[in-house]
Amino acid sequence: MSSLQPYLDAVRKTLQAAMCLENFGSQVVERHNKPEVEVRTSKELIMTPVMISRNKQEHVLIEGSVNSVRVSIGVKQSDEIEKILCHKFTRFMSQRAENFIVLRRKPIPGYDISFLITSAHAEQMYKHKLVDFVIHFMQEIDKEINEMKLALNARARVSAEEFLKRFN
Amino acid sequence: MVMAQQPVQHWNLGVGPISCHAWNKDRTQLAVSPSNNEIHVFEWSGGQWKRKHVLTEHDLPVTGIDWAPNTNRIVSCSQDKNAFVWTADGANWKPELVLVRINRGATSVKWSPLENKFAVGSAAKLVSVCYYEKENDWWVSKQIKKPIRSTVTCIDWHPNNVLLAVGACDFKTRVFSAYVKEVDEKPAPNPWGTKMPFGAVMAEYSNGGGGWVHAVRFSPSGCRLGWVGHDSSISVVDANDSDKETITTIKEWYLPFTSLEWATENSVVAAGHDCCPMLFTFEGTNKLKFVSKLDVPSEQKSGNVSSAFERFKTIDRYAASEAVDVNLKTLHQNTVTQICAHTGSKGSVAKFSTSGIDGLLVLWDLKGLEAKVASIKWREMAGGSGRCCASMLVIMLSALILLGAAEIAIYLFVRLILSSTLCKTYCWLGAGLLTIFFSASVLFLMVGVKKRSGCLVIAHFVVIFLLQATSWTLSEVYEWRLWWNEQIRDELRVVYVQVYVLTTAWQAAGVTIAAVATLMSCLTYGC
Repeated sequence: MSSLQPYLDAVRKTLQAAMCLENFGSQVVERHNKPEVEVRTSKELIMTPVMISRNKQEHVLIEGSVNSVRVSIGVKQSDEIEKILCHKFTRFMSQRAENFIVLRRKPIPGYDISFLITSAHAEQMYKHKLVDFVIHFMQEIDKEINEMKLALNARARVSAEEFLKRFN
Repeated sequence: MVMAQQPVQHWNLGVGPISCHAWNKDRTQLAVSPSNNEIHVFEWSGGQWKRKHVLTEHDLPVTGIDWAPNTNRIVSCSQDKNAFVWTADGANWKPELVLVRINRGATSVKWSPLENKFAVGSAAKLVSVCYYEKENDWWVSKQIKKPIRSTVTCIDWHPNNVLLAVGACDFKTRVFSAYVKEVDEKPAPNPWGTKMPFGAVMAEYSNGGGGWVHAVRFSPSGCRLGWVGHDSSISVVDANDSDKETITTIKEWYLPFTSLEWATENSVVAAGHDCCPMLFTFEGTNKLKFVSKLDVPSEQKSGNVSSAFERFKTIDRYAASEAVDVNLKTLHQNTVTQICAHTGSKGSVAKFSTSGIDGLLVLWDLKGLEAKVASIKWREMAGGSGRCCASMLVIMLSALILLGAAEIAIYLFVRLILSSTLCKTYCWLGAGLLTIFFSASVLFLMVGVKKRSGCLVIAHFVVIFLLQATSWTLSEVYEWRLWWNEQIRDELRVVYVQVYVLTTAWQAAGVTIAAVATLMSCLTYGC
């Protein structure tokens, strides 16, 4: 088993604990009901953030609060190509954030992609499925970027071949 | 009313996530809020829940509902800062606005036991105690502000109609006096304190875990206070304890609870983010114990394990590697939001209901679950101190006295009226009586008194048995005709008398102890 599994397990357990949310109206602004982890108006309603990292680049930051949890993911980027691919990929996702419902439009500085899960989401969807989704996403994004990188390299090789044929 | 065959019954009311629910007095009607501004009133008719009314006076999500059983009024509160008292007016419910005077959303609401006032907790870091003012014909409020430092999440009334327990997001649970001189009699002193002016802090607790308090409940007698926090803890304090400040807390593997309810004076049911109600017992300070989960996964799940053929067929047909199990193993598929007592008197709740974000309403029968979940002992929960134990003690005591009297009568009959050669008969009778004694004690134990007292009873009878056996043997030997030495025979006689006196004394002591225990428990709990 790769060392990915313990990492994902740790993230899963932390998410399960962090996703114990309730519908919570603001105690600062009248008739507001905002994710406390974003507005940060009362410090007693925010939990200590937890960071789980597998290595220097791959890490997850889970910030909990009484009615929302923010999950930020750092994706592995070993070279320039992966960096570019990752950037493009997450940008593509973030631009379609409303289709993903729990995706945050802008990642937290230092991370590639962020999710914002509020109590409303936890009401609409099964909590355990939300956790599964995040874990699945983390598994897939690595695979996706690797595949894209392979495809890109293959394409580069083909086009280079085609180009160099002219000089035969 | 509602059909009683299965230990666990559930209904999907089809209204979406249920944030809170409340029952009417005879449990035929149910008010739920589907996590929005509406309150739906259902009625049980023809074997299903029928929606009768939809109350739409709030304009933000409803956060609390409570149904006063005797005056048949509903009080509701919402994040829109309002609370309404709904009165049944023939076919409709008529709302009355309450002057809660809060400038943030309300979070919870509860009628007092006498139903002449109610309390509203709010995000404005205060609790409004509302009562009806006859002169102006409206509900007015008094506020408890200090020293709450964050959103009030939960409240609960003490049975004496005066004390109010408040849990808040500042990680603390407090007991306040909510004595309103306009509507209340002067309260009698109780374990929580003697002087109770409005707003006085009678007690303040923090279990040090730093979790938002999600629910707080007084025990049926009002002497104990339990609460659950976001640090996955469940805590109990006992005001009768010598050291009132001692908090008994346990934290285990489970996710935080959102709600709790006392099933009896010393057992608590809590449920929350684990989607499964769990039973705890509290038997005095530092003796809070997890007993079991109440949700036993039904066997029908195993029916889903299909044959290999079926499995490959599905794989072939749907191009799916394997059917993914979407469901949690518990009945509730999402967080449980509230537990309510349903059937049974205060102090011995037989059934309770839970509502969840998954839209389910589940009715749990604790007595029915006893058969299903091995570790639940209903009588044990009721406690060695409960009423049923007191009556058991009474039965036991009378049995002891009767048997003792019978024994003495037979002894006298045999010794005085008949000749001593019939001693053997007496022995057999005595042995028979002892067997009855012994089986009675075993029965006593089986019926489920606390284990320790059961062991004591058994030990008591073992000692009696040994003493009795010794005295029989001695008497047999004494009756033996072929004695070579009269002196030894006389000594034997002395020993025999001593052993006999000891046996009688021991039995008398047993009877006295049982009598005292019975009296004590009768005095404490009232027969």
